[in-house]
Amino acid sequence: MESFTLYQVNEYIRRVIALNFREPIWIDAEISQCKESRGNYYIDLIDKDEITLQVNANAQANLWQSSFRFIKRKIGDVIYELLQEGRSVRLKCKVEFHERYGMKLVVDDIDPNYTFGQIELKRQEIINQLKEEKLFDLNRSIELPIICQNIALITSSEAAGYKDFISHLNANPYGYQFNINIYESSVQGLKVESETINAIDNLLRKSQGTYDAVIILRGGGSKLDLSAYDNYNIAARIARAPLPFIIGIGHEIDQSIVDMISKSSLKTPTAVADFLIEQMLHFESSLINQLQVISTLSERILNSSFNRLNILSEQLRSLSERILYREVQTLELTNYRITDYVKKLVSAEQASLDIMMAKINGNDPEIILNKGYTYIMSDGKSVKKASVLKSGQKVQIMFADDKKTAQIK
Amino acid sequence: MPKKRTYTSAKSKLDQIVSELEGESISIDELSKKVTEAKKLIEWCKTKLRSTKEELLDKDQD
Repeated sequence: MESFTLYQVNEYIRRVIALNFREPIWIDAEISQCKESRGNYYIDLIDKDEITLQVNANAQANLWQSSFRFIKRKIGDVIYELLQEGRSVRLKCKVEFHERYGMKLVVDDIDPNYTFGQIELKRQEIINQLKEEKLFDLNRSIELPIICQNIALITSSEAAGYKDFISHLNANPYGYQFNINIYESSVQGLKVESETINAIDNLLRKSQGTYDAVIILRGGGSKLDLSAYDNYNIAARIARAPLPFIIGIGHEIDQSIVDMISKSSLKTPTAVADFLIEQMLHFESSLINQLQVISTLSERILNSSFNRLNILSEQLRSLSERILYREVQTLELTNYRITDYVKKLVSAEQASLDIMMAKINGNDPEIILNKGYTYIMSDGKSVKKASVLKSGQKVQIMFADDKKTAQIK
Repeated sequence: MPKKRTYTSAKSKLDQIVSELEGESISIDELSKKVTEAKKLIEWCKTKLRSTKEELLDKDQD
């Protein structure tokens, strides 16, 4: 029976492979581990079954320093983002087999667009799932309080974004104060998911009303870095939380899923600080406006009451004047009438007196005696008939100037 | 115990006072009471915006 040495077998395999893989080929795989040593990268690649997620293939790939420099010149710093655990990558590799070291993939090039595409696909899947489960709009439908003063902050206190945020808040020129509780969490890498979720769970354990809002902050980062926040579990936690979330995880153009489902999403931690300060400023100036309106209105009410009083007192004055005037008129008229009446009365009396005087004068005995008439008195009585006189009776003859006694014959 | 005052309740109370004043149905006796109340509410808000709540500052442990 013919037998081969192991070297012969391996040497044969090397030739078969060399013959079949003359040119480099593009390979799609996921990085399960990546280590760097002296500028060379040693990458463990795996391929997972889409449904069962079981690893159904793995291989070692080497990215030598020279190729690394070439790729970095071409695509820039994004290469560091691509060479991360968990990334789906498309690598251009030479398939090599070495009798002693076995099969190796030697990386020539990397296609970053593939990774971006994969991330986008994954994002879409998550978005669709959140929409299907009616979680997508939950947090956005929570009303933001008028003021967010009591804040649960999820971030890494060592990140630059956190310091920017705090110093920006503290530097507000209006003297506004914020109560901030920090819940520590990684903001990049593989721990983002578990630590962010842990932070959310912890802060939700505080009694209701403790916090007005939850803020997630991170300093600047690359587009791929942001994909840590394209995460279903974080998004679902936020969606189910009863507090509004405000996100400032430092990106200019793209929005992570966490941004999309949260109540507010701002570009940077500084922008979040500005937002909080402006919210207070807006509230306070609306208060000052209200005060202005209230003082204008109350002044108007006071003035109109004052005017009413003035009008009333004016009316009172003119009314009383009129009444007084009328009374005076009436009095004067009465006075005139009385005088007139009295005058008439007096002159009438005068006239009747004159008549009486004339009558009296006509009968005055003195006047008659002066005319030459005399009359006779007997026993103190005037004698009006001759028959009553007897012979020998003494009588008095009355003259105007004197009386004489005579005897009847 | 009266209900805990919040920015929202203060704001809506103020709005109510303004609309009462706008209606001009308010009597002159009530006027100064309402204006004083409004000023107190605003002062409360302004002070609260500038004060910290101590109990929140205890750091939570994970």
